[in-house]
Amino acid sequence: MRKLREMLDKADINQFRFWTQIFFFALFIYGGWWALNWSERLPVFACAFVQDRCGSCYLLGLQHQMTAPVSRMFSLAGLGILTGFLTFLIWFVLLNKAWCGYACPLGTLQDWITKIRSGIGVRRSQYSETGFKRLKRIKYALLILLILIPLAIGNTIFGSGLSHEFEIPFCMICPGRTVLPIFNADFSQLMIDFSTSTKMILTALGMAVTGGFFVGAFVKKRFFCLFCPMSALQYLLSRLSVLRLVKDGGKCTRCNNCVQVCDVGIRQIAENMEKGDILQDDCMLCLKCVAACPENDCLQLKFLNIPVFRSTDTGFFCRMEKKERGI
Amino acid sequence: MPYFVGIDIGSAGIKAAAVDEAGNLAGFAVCPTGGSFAKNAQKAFEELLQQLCMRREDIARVVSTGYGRKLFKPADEFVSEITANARGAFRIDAGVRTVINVGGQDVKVIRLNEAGNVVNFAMNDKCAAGTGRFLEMAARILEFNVDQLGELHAEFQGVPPTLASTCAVFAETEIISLLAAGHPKPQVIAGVHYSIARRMAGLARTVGVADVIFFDGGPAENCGLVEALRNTLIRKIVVPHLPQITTAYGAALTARASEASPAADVRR
Amino acid sequence: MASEEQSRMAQSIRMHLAMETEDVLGRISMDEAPQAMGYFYRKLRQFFQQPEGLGHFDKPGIGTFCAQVPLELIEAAGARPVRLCMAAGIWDQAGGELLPAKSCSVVKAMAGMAASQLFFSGVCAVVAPTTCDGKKKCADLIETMGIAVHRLEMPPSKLSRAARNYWRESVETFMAQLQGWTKQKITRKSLHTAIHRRLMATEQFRRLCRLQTKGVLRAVDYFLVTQTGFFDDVEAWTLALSDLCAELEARVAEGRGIEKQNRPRMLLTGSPVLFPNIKVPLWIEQAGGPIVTDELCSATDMFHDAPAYDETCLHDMVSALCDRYLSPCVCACLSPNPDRIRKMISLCRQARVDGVVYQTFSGCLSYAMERNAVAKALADEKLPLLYIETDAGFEDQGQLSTRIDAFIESVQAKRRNF
Repeated sequence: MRKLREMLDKADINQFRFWTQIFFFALFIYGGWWALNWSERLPVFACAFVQDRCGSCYLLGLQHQMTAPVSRMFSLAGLGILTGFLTFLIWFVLLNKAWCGYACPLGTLQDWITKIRSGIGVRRSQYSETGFKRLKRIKYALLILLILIPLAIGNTIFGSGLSHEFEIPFCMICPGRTVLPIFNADFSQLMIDFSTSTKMILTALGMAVTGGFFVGAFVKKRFFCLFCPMSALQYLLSRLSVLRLVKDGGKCTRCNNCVQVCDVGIRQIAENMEKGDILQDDCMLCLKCVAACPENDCLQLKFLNIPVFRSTDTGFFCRMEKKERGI
Repeated sequence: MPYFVGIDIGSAGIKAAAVDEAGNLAGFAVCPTGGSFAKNAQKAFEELLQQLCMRREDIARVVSTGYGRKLFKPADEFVSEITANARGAFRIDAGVRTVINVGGQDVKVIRLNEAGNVVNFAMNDKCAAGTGRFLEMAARILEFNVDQLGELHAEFQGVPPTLASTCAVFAETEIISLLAAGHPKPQVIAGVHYSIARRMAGLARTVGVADVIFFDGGPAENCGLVEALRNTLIRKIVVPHLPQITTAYGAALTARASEASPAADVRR
Repeated sequence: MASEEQSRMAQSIRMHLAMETEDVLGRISMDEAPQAMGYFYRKLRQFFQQPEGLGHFDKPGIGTFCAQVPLELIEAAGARPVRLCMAAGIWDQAGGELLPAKSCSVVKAMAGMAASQLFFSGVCAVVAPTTCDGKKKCADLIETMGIAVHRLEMPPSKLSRAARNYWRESVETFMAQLQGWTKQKITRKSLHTAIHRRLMATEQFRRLCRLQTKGVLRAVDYFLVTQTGFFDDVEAWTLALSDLCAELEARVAEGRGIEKQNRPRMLLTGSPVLFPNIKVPLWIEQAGGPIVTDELCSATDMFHDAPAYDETCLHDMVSALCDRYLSPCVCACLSPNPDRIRKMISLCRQARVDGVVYQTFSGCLSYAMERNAVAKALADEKLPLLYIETDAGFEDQGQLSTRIDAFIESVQAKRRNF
């Protein structure tokens, strides 16, 4: 048991994450080859437009379900919405936001782009602290819109129902739809649909976002994640999860190592000394902060209150030495 | 019957006290410190032995305390004068919570708890302002003996003059200018006492003052100083029968206590 | 001739300094000193008595004030940092002629050191973070003596965004100045190497701290180790430190020296312990209270933290260094300074401390002013505090050692009653 503990303390979390991400990427993009189908309610961008996927993103289903008239939602059909949500919740509760950091194929893709950037020696760009605070609100707006717009289809709010072309508004602009199928050699989503003006606008927007996705992911780490409505939805439910990121403010020396290594630049983790549950909405539980913290037990990842990965003095120096050898 | 001895090697005087097994004072000796700690301490110790009609071997344990505690080689152990003083005072009066001690070159205020342990204390820094040294200096300038100051204090009437500083060095100029301004000597002496009392009170407030103050150390024999302190702190002041040897007595009690549980606090 | 007079004074100060260091080192008994401590005694003697004899003088020296100068940058630029905070009585005296008597003895000593020019033969420039007023004015004074001074501008607070940006810019200016001095560019590689060396040093220092909480190393020795770290080559220091740790670990394994564990365990905080002024730890130790941990900018606060970065590019490494030297800083010159109390309480809990000794130099107002807040926080933790105000010399031994003895006796009595 002590051996295991020691091994976990010294774990090279970045390497572990790298391989886990490859595993999940393969699963979500090529899982269909092995006739796997997990669920249609996954809390991750396992895009439904990818043919050989093994499950799909809950947001797609959610948008579909929202197109129903409100009266139907409160009938027996509402049960479908509820079970859908519960399935999503069960999946989510298991891994919390680690879905973003370890499983999301779109996130993985961005990490690979980051690797290319740092490999060729280009330094990352960072948001200013105020800019970051302002931008992080966008994902909540997107979440509200992706529920409200489909609602306007089945329900007459603006005099008449909205066109069915707005059925999955978020998917239309989501880079997951355009980019991920490429890995199945499917380039069909990479185009602007000129059949109707609505479709044209939506797909054009989608293409613009895709362009932005690549450029953004190159200059910034996890560029798209800051705007991801899935991330917003997850954060709203994160309290229910059995996987928690916990900080003991009493042990923190405010050395800011956690902020330095954070891909998204969350300052709260270094600055908040009172809050035990330190998980923030932009966090993807990549655990780099825990690995970079040199204070024993200051940061901990707990599964059902059992510490799975914790910050240690020895682990920190062990990883730093490895980093030195790596260069 | 075994005896336990405490030796308080202060800057002005060396005090030796012996207690019996029950912790009662069996005898004491006092001699001035002079220039040589070790020699005079030995002298006081021998004087005490003579008084008790005993030899060194008959003494169960010797504890030294005071400024020169580490220089007295025959001691089995040493203890700081703050702990020793607290112990002695607590033994004399178990109701004591605040002890004020004025020594040759320092002023101490000690807070005790119900068990007689030191919980807090304050002490003057490097300089000897407001200590026994200051009183001696004042007495010398006024051409009296230190012992006479108490009686002379009683003669003063009205309001004593204020001395701005209790510094032993500045005292001379200040006292002389007071005399030059026509203040009678008893008045000046009262002024000296009140200025010391003010300083002690200030120090005492930093550690908290109980309703009853235990006042010891050589200068506590000076009834003028006691009165000044009483009027300044507006509390009851208790002066023990032999204020000068409280600390030595406490050291002797420490010797007795360590003998009872030898593992407790041996530092040699 | 002024210069002749100067050199006479320098010579005299040098002699007195050698006497003083010898006196202080002579007060440390060698009976239980670990063998590996020999390196540190030797280095200190050499440094204070024949500074020319130190090995790594081939590199240009950069003098530093305080603990906020990113030393890795200096090393990456091909120079060697020498922290000039040292509090010899003789320097204090010499500095007293240059600065007001009421200024703190560290500041006076540093001015006196500059006047005696002892270390300035090998030091080509001085970096002074704008910490407390005393240090700032001391830097001004040193500059008038013809020594190149770079002011590493430090924000008065560390919590705000403005402060972080200001500090970052300030460090970048410093980098440019450094490269101008040494004519050597700080590269990604040289900085990475420098950071790594300091990381290894930090790792060994933390190992020593763990042993320190077991009470196997005397406090004086501990402070001599940290003091040697002020001027020694990092790699050599790390190596000697690791030898010392290995020896102490062997002692622990044999069960030697750990009986002190059950003595009243002390934490020392306040103004720094700076060689040769190690009297307070010396007396605390002699009174029978091992110092198991400390919150001092000359020890834990200087060596404890280690920077981390994700990408090994110059920008990110500098950014990590900026944070390393400002963010965990708990110097009393910062306002507000909530981390100091938090850190102290955390240290007290981790090292199971029984009492805190708070020393300030007379004139070190910032630390003296924080005293009440600290006392209150410690009282809430039910920890007793002894406050000592002192100077560089040994003249207050009688009063101070009585107070320290009494404090430790009272802590001991309290422990026995529980």
